[in-house]
Amino acid sequence: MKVIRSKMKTIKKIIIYLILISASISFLLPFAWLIRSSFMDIGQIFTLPPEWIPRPFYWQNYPEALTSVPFGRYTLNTLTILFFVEAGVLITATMSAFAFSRLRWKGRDKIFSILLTSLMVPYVVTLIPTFLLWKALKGIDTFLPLTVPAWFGGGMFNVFLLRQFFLTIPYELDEAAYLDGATPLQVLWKVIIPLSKPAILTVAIFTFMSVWNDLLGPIVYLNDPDKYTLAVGLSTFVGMYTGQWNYLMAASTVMILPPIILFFIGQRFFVQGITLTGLKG
Amino acid sequence: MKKLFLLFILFTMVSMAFSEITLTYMYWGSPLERKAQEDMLKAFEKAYPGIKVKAIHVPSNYDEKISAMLAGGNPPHVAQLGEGLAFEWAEKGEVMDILPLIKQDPDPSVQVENRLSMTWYWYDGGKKTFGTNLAAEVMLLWYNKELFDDAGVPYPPANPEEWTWEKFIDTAIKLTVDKNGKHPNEPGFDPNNIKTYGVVFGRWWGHFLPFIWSNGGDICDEEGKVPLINQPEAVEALQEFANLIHKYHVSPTPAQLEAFPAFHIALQTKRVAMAINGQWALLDLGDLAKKGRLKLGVAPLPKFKEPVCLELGAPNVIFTKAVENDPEVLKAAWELYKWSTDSEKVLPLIRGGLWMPLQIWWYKDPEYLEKWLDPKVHPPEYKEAVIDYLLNYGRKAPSYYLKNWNKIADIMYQEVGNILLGKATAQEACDSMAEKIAPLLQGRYDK
Amino acid sequence: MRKLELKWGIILALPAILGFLIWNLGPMIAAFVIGFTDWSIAGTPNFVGLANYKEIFFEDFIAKKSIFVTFYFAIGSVVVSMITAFLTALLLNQKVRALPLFRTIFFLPSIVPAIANAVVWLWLFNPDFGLLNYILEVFGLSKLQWIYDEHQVIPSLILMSAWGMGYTMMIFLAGLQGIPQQLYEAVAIDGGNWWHKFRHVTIPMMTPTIFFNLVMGLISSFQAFAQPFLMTEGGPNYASMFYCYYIYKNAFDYGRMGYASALSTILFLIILVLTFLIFKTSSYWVYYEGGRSR
Repeated sequence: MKVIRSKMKTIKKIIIYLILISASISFLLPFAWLIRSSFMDIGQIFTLPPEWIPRPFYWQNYPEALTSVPFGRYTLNTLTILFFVEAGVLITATMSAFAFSRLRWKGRDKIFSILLTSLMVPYVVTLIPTFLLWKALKGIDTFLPLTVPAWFGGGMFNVFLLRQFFLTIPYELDEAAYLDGATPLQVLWKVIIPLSKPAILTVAIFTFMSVWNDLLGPIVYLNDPDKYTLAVGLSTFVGMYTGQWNYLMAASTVMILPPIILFFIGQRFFVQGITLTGLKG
Repeated sequence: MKKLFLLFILFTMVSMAFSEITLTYMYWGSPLERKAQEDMLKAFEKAYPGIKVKAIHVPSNYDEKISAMLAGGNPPHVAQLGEGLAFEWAEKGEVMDILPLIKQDPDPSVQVENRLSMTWYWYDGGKKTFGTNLAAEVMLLWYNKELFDDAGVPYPPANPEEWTWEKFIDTAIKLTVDKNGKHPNEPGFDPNNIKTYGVVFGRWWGHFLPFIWSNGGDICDEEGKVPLINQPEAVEALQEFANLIHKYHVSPTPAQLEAFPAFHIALQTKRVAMAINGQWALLDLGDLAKKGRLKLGVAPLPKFKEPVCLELGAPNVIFTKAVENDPEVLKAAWELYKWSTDSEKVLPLIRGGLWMPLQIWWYKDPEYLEKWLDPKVHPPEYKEAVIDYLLNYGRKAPSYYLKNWNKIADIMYQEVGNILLGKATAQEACDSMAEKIAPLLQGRYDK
Repeated sequence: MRKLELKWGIILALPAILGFLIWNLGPMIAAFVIGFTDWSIAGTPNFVGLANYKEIFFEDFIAKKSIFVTFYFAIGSVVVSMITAFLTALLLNQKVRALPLFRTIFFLPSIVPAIANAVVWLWLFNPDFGLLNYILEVFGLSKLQWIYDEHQVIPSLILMSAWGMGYTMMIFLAGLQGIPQQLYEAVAIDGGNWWHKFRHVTIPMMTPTIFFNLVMGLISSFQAFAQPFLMTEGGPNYASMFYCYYIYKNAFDYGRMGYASALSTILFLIILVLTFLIFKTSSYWVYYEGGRSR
């Protein structure tokens, strides 16, 4: 009996691995194509049948793509924006999500629904009114339009996401804390946040990605090239008419490396997950 | 000596007149264009010490940015702009009519008669203009001479009168080779495994419009009110265009074409013998030629009835709001505008092949010709096949005058796509096109 | 307690509420109002009443087609990418080796900048040189035209969206991580097998994240824009003319911000109604451990 069970387990493991590996290959293929293109002469990229090994290795794509922008400057700008946005989102989105999920107050769900409508209008038509607003606030050509909104709820996507996760936490935990004389802030800090680490980490990663790849915001609000971000700098190659695919691929590879590393490391915290103890007693 | 002294005085006076004005100049373009534009602006600042230029290079989302700046009341002083928005905004007075400035200025480089007549954007019935392109551009036929040599086929003639459609088809068939070395007119030819295509072309209007014109057809009538795109001349030309793919098998289908992201590489690697593309392609083609990797040739587009050379581009403009309150700023912006559209100042881009000059003397004066024609880049037949072609048969694109052009062009793009995909005959697509563009044909800006 | 919660509820929600009032409400109202004008960004807008709406409903064949296309894509891509993401998340929640590596791999396509992604997919979809047709050929299947055929373009783009499901997957994964192990143990003690665990623990515990992904998936796929903008230009024959792309064209290519705003008001109403319906039904199928009925 035991032998059969462990055999079953092995078979199950093998199947899982088979699925994972084959699916991984299909997810990696486009990516591998991108990487190998970044090392190719433009003539080799679209040859038939497709070639997977660059011949010769065109390292030059990288210096060509990277030296055209002041790399240090743009990295610094990007990191500055990132810092303020992440801080703002993590603090205010968590606060707001807590208020919309764990506290009971009149009109809560109605207000939440109304706020959600901010996600339903395409940026194309709100861009110019928003720009005029920032002009009135003297925010043009500063990082303010790119960072300050993050401190006001951090976008309803994040609030909504965290709210959903907070709602899954048993309410008994809050009640126990309140009985011990805790304030709502303490409940948020001591009960909710520790139990929602994966969700908060998810929000942090998404926020990173959206700032990292944002083109429209910096382009519309910044005029001074010294204030540009990495995404803007590297998008120079991306003009659809320049057709410099090899540079585009090199620039893209460089752009995706930091998020990949960050994501990979972030995993470790993710895997730890949650161990809810003393629940459902 | 006295002359020199006077010049000096004049120069100091001019520079003193511009005491510290800061202008904004906005543009798009590849890294190479960026470099050339930056150099151009640096030279400008040097020549006008009192003027600082803040250059904003916008690599993407250009229209969003400039729209926001305009709506915010702070447009750049001088900027590149798509023709569609330029006309729309010029009619509302936001993009400036520079005709009065031209009339007051003796500078020959900006006079109406001194720039290619095709490059001017006229509006308000032809009474106003917001200027010309940044550069001239035409549609051409590029080819790989080696493939012609190997096949023993004569090069396309540089004289457009001799370059007939029949000759063109014949040439394309001879140069199209499948995997087994067979041509489309031979038995056993395999159209699904073509090694070298005779000719490639794109799907947008710049590629097919010259042929419609050459066949005596047009999109609409002279007034820009009545669609003519479903008339026999236009239909026939478009059908022949589609025949290149489906009947003669000398061209890739639109889908196959997607694997030709860079025409110049397709030419160099002998995937294709001839390519219809803009003059600007010479930047990349010339680079290959210079490195000895491509034996480059250029020809006019083949003709149906009359040769036609399509000229197109996008303008540089001055924004009214940025200059209207201060005559000094206006003067400075005007100098910058003239400078940025003076081909002398962006010579590297012109010699490199990306642009063609604007001022007429560049085309007629041998001394000037020598200045911009780089023999390592521009093929020997360039003068006849491009310059004479432009001067004798040039015709401005509808983007210079037709109202609602962007929308009409988008509709044509979809419908012509149907023809090229073999989903519709030219007649069907053109009838549908005529019906759809009829309400958009609301006349011309220049008439 | 009630009072305390009211006080803190408002204080803590204040940033989000203020943010909405300051940065969202104004522009939303502005867009709505501009929809009744002929504004082209330049000059002063003229009030034109319902003219824009009349044109959308009675004259504009592209707008009609694009609404249909957008519905088709939005529903298809939400279903496909949610199923892919859910299954992947389940797999990645197993105890296997190299988990961080696998998770990173499945998230990869979502990291790649949109333009590079478009170039890669243009190549994959190429009927003659692309990898997808090559694979079909290897299995002896006939080639497809993918995004170059009127009828295949939307299914192709839906397929592509399955690759970009990284965000959805991450959210599911976070949800799975949040399911207390005790619940599974309880099922195991009662003699339940994996199906019981899945059916009675995983699914109900995941409904809040499924609900989130459904709502956000619809909201964002109705506003999809990059695919036509970077890959198909709305073709062939308008078959991929996504509604938002058409709004963009009107606003910035045709100089018709007024018309674009009217178009977007209609989109807003469509999304609003759909979201409202999902919210309404949610009380029947979304299970909150923390309870909302309180």
